[in-house]
Parts: sequence; C-alpha cells; structure tokens
Amino acid sequence: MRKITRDLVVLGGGPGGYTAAFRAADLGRSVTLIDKNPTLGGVCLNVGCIPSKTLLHISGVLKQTELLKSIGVEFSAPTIDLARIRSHKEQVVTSLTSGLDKLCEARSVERVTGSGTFTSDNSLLVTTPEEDLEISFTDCIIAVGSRPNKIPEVDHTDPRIWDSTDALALKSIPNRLTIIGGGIIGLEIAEIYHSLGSEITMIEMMKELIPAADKDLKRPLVIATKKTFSGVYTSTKVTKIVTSGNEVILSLEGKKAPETLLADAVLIAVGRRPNTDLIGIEHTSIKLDQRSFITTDTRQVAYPHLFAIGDIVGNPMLAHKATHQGKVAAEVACEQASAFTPTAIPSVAYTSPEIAWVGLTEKEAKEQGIEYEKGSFPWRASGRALSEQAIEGMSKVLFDKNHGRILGAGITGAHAGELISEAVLAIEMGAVAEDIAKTIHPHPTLSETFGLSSEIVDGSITDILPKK
Amino acid sequence: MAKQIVNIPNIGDFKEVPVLELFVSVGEEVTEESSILSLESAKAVTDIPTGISGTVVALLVGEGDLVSEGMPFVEIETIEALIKDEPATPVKEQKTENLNEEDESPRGKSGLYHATPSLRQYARDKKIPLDRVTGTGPHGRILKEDIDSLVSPKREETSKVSQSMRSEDERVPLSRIQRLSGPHILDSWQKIPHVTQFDEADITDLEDFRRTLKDEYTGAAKIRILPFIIQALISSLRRHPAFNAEFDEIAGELILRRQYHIGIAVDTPDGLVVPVIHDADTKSTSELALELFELSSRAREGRLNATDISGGTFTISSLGGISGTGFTPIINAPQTAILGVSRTKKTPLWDGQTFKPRDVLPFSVAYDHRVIDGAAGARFTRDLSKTLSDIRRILL
Ligand SMILES: Cc1cc2nc3c(=O)[nH]c(=O)nc-3n(C[C@H](O)[C@H](O)[C@H](O)COP(=O)(O)OP(=O)(O)OC[C@H]3O[C@@H](n4cnc5c(N)ncnc54)[C@H](O)[C@@H]3O)c2cc1C
Repeated sequence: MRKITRDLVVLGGGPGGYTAAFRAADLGRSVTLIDKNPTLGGVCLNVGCIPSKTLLHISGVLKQTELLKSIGVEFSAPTIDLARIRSHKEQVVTSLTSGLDKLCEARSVERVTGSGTFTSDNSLLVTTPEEDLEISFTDCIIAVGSRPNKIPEVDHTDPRIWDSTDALALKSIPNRLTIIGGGIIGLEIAEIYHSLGSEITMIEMMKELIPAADKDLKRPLVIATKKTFSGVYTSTKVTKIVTSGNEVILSLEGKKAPETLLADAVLIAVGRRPNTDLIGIEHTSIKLDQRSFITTDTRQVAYPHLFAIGDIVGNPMLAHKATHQGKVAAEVACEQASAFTPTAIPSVAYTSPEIAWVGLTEKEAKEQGIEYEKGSFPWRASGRALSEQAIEGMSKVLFDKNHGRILGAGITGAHAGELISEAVLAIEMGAVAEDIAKTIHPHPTLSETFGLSSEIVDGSITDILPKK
Repeated sequence: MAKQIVNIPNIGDFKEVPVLELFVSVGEEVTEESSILSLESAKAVTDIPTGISGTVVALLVGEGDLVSEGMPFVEIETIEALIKDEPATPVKEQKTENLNEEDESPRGKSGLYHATPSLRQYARDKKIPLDRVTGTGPHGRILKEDIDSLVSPKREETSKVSQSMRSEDERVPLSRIQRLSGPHILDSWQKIPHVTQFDEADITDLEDFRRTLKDEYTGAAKIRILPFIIQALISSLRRHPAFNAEFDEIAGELILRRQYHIGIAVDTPDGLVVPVIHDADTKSTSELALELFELSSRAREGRLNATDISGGTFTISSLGGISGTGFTPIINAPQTAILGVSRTKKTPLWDGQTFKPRDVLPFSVAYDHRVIDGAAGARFTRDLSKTLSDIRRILL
C-alpha cells in the first residue's frame, strides 16, 4: 500500500466538495479532491438537479402546447425518441462535469478517483481502481452526500423498483408508474414520466404532498396532480410490494386508497439518508446525531481539522446549501472568520406550476406564535400572467408585525424558482414592505407580483382594492 | 437568557470619553451599587455601577477605550437567572427540524436585530457577537458603524516627534482636561473663521461703586468685577442677539438663544474648565457673585458634574486676574462669539481739559465671521464698552 501525505483533502466531489476544493485552492491551499466517481458534480450534476431539470423542461414545453390548444393553436401529438432525449440529457450533464474538470486543472487541484474511508482523525484509506492508497492530511473537508432511502422487505434489485437515479436514467417509459413519496423529487419525476406518457399514481404517507410548503401555495399543484394523475393517495401506507409476477402488486392502507394497486414500475422516493455509514466515521472523533448526520458548528467544523458540509450535515438537502457551506469550510480551513449563518435558504419544486418558498412559512409563523402581516397577490390580476396563460399563480409575502421586516415569502406559478431570489435578497437585507413596494419592478412581468404583494402590506396597492 | 448586558447610562452630555479604570474582573460578584468602571467625562470622573447584582461574565470595554452613552460595557449573569437555571425545568426547545443554522441565526432569537450578510462577516472579523450590538439603522438594522463603535480604537502611538527627542528633553503628559478638550479646541479653531475686535472700557465709575459695597459683601459673597461684566454683557447680548446664538451649519441657519447660559473659563491646577452659569439673566449681581465663587471652587477641586459644564450659550475668558493688554480667545463652537477680558490698568485719559487717572479695562470679542460681519462685531464691542463704562445703561 502506497502512503502519501497531503495538505487539504476534500472527500466527495459533489456541489459541496468541488466548491470547497476550488475555494481552498484559490485561497492558497494545496488541495486533493477525492471522489469514487470519475465524473465530478456528485448527485446534483449526475443524477439529481441537472438531469431532472433537463427532463422537466420537456414536460414544461409540452404543458405549454396543451395550453396553446385552448387558445387556438394546435399541434399534433409529439413523437418521443427516448434515446435522443437520454443522450441530450447526458450531453447537458457532460458539458457541466467536463467544465468542472477544466476548473480543477486550472486550479491545480489534485484528483484521486477512489472510494475513501477514514482510518483515523488524520488519515484516509482510498481504494482506487489501481491500488490502495493511504493519505495522511492536515485538514479534511467531508462532503460525501446522501443516497435514497430504501423500504425494508422490498426487492430493490428488481429492475421495476426504481430510485430517483434509475428514474432519471430514462431506460423505458412504463405504462403505469407508481410513485411512493409525494415530496419534491417524487413530484418532479411524476411530471417527467407523465409527460412522456406514463399513467401516474402517487402515494404519500403524510396528510399532504410537500408537507413543508404552505397549503395555499400548493393548491394549484395539488389540483393539477389530481386532474392529470390516475390517483393521488395521501395519508396512505404501502404495506407490501410483490415483485414475483408480471406486474408489481402494491398493498395499500389508507382511507381513500384501493387495497391493491398494479404497476409496471415503482419509484421509491421516500427521502435520502447521509452516507456517513460508509466512510469509517467510527475511526474518527466525529459524532453523529440520531439520524446519522454529522454535527458541526456554524464554521462547519465537526472536529478540529475535520469539516463537514452538504447533505451529510442535515436538512435541507439542497445543492445551494452545500455550495455555501463548502465555501465556509474552505475559508475557515484557510483561517478566515467565516461562518454559515444564512437568514434563509430557499426551496423550489420545479413542477408545473412551480412552487418556491423561503424563510418563515405561514404554517411555521403560526406554530411559533409570530405575529405577521401577509400580502398575497393573485396572478389572475397580473397582466403578464394573463398573457402567459399562467393565472393559477400567486405571490405572497410575510412581514413581522413588530419590527416590520420581511419574514418569508412563497410563490407558486411559472418561474417561481427564478422569482423567489428577490425575496431571498430582501430577507438577507432586512427589507420592510415599503422598501419592496417602492422598488420599481419592470412591467409587465411576473416579478411585479412580488412587489405588488408587498404593496398590499404597505397599503399602497392600486392594482387590486386595498385592505380596509 | 441568564445573562444581561449593561449599557453605559446617561451621565450628562458626553461622547467618546475614556475608561479610566476597571474595578472588577470576570467572575467577580457585584451588587447593584458596585462600580464597574470610572469614566473621565469632560471635567468629572464618574463611577458607573451595574444597577443589577450578579456575576461578571464578560467585560466589554477595556481601560483607555472610548465609550458613549448606551454602549454595552459589561455582561452580568444575574443572581435570579442563576437560581432559575438550576431546577431541571427543561427549556422548551422549538424543534427546528430542517435548519442547523438556528444556533447563530442572524435574525436573533427575539427577531429584534438584523444585519446583512456582509455585516455578519464584518462582525465576525471584528469578533463582535451580533447579539451584543444595538442596531441603529432603519428598523433596527445593525450598521457597520454600530460594530465599529464596539471595537476598541487602536491608539496609533508612534508620533514623528519622538524621533527628535534629545536626552536632556523631558516628556510631560498632558493633563486629562487638556487631552479631553484639545480636539474640541482644535475643531473650533479650524472650523470657525475668527475675527477678533479689541476695545476698552473706562470702568472707573463702576469700580468706585464696587468699592462702596466692600463692607456689605464679604467672603464668598464678595462682588468682583466679573459679575458686573456678566450683567453688562447680557444687556449688550439682548441688543445683539447674533452673539448669543448657535450656528447650524447644515441648515445654514442661526439659532438665536433666548436663554443666557454664560460659561466662564476657569483656571484650575488640572487645566482650563468652563463651568456655566445657567439663566444668568435672571440672577442678580450678588447672586452671580455667589454662584461664580461656588462654581470656581468646585472646578478647582475637580467636583463639577456634567450639567455644570454643559449648555452654555456664550463664553467669557477672563485673564484679568493675571496680566495682559489683549488676547484672541477661541470661540467655543457652536457658539458664535467669545469675550476675552484682560487686566484693568490705571491709564491717563484726557477729559477735555486734563489727563485724569482712569481704570481702563481692555477686552476683546472674537466672533464667527461666517455669521457676524465686521461692522456688527465693532458695534457689539462698542455697546459692551459703553455699558461697562456706564453700568446704568443696563437699565435701558
Ligand atoms: C432527483 C434529485 C433531484 C434534486 N434536485 C435538486 C434541485 O433541484 N435543487 C437542489 O438544490 N438540490 C436538488 N437535489 C439535491 C442535491 O442533489 C443535493 O443536495 C446535493 O447534490 C448535495 O451535495 P453534496 O455535495 O452534499 O453531496 P453529493 O452531491 O451527494 O456528492 C457526494 C459525492 O461524494 C462522493 N462520495 C460518496 N462517498 C464517497 C467515498 N466514500 N469516497 C469518495 N467519494 C465518495 C459521491 O460519489 C458524490 O460525488 C436533488 C437530488 C435528487 C436526488
């Protein structure tokens, strides 16, 4: 076994890991980036954010053609060339991951392709295709991410039992796809396959889809899923999945759900678990919490000289959280006084309509007894939404009744994910309703609706009748 | 929860005064009355108590730091809190499922303060915990200045002068009053375009009158010339209000004062101080004499309090007790003028037929030429001279 000594080692090359590696290199550290996968980018680029959004683009455009039909523009039914879609998706991914390779090279970040496990607080054993390598390091940033949860007693090796990675591989389009888990990932994949021709059935154990989001924000999506999917069963448990026959047989338990359900494929999208069980964490001084997340302080320090970032440190498991934590870890490793202290982290479901929210939700405000004022602007009153056939949207914003600053915002409708950034900035800058109301938004745009919802609270709204 | 930050209380009109001495250290127990530190406000040394009992957790200022009212200076773990923390009543932890950022949420636990991301970083760089900062920006936002005000200023020591020191030279530290008033004097001198008008008054009659009072007013009540000068001055100021005024540079306006708070520069062993006789226009000459005596003795003992030295609308600098034929006093900004009084001198004056020995008081008036022009300066000075020469004029 070869033994080498390195300065700063980053374990895992997902959004958290590569960002940390690049930042540390830019700050003058000599960096070694280890990933078991020869392509960088982690879940996000390879089997997560990017492939899912590439495919959702197709569903979105197809939805638009449906809408055009209602105003007199008709297309014939699309022909789907699955192989070409797949290769397009792969091209998108490759263009991004090869870009990362170039950035690595330009920064002289050393790459090691192999699976790493800790042997102590300052050494790793890395199994590469060629050899076993022992790397001693000064600092290590751990960014090994997460993987899909499994359901016990289900044969996950059956090709009809999918996780999100299988689904995004786009091998075939099943006639009947059952999706277990009504979270963001489940809904996005449901939409992709629905637009490609599958019949979709959704099963969610909780009372609602996307439990974290406010009800009013979800309403247009919930209505859309009920209209387009063959079945949406909430408060429903899957008690058994039988894969011995030609079709997968699911046994369900829920008020409105049938007892059995037949499917040609089943996507299991019931959350993700951190990969902390696969990296020899027990050989380090790092502590895990009950859910196997690594606990860190706001500087992302898990133990002196050991940093942890991204999905392995807890929720929300989002790429933009991982990248920001990556920067903090790199900066702290370079002795800067950085810390990860965002006021809010935005969440987006890239469904149609999209749902985006940030900061305090109304539900949370009520639970925490925080007094707030709400401005909620229906897109029905927006000229741009009408011209875009996007009237099912709404923009709402919450301000604290006492100090007046914005607490949170939620947007549902086309491009909600793009529109929410303004609210994130407003939160970080501590804007009050008047600040946003007096900020000139271009007309006619969907972004106006955020300004208008603040005008409601400011009392200066003219586009609809003001609150008395 | 258990800890409480105590801010510097209002101890009169002061800003950025140095901490002279810290009396306690971390871990020490204090009561409500215990003094934590002493401050050197313009003329007085004031001890600052906590107002609460408990244990000192952190001292937020050091000796020599400049502090102002409202600045946090000590963190106390209160006794109550200590008791309350003991029993096993678990603090109701809000289950914050999804964010691990809660421990240092920039919104603050109470949601009462806020700082933008760049300022949060700035605070970290300066090692100032945000929950100790009072935001003075809109809606309580913490500004860069709020953080700066908590950072102890690094005194840049090495001056160029030190290189020219020779072995026989001696370094003498300035008195604390000199150190404190120096910047204000410099500021007044640099900002105000001064014109100094010289004149004199024949105060022979006034001195004759004063002599008749000699046996009546003795000791502390003895009436010197200064109370009469104050009376004459107020009489002239009434006729020339621009001299009892304040210049608001930003508004470009003169604020005419209807009150006559007359500051008197007093020489003390520690340096020059300026106690103020408030509402001097409502006081009789004998009352002025008594107050002057009282104020100057307290000034010499260093026992003036903050109100004694604040609020002046006009200042008199009198060197009459020493010597000199005239001098150019520096205006006490934002006032518009100052009176400099020199030593009365027997002078032969021509009364039309013969030279007579007369008591002549030389004085000077420096005024802010931005707001008072030369003719007005001369007129006021003449008016004062005439009033002093015939004190009956104050009845006019
Ligand atoms: C279908 C899907 C859609 C998603 N969509 C979005 C979205 O739209 N927006 C969003 O913000 N987030 C989205 N996410 C979540 C996002 O992908 C993750 O939050 C993000 O990738 C986490 O980044 P990370 O750096 O923590 O870890 P990961 O991206 O998981 O990267 C971890 C890396 O570590 C490597 N690794 C693991 N173990 C080892 C080892 N022992 N040795 C060496 N290397 C190892 C892995 O190969 C991987 O490259 C999505 C996730 C999925 C599954």
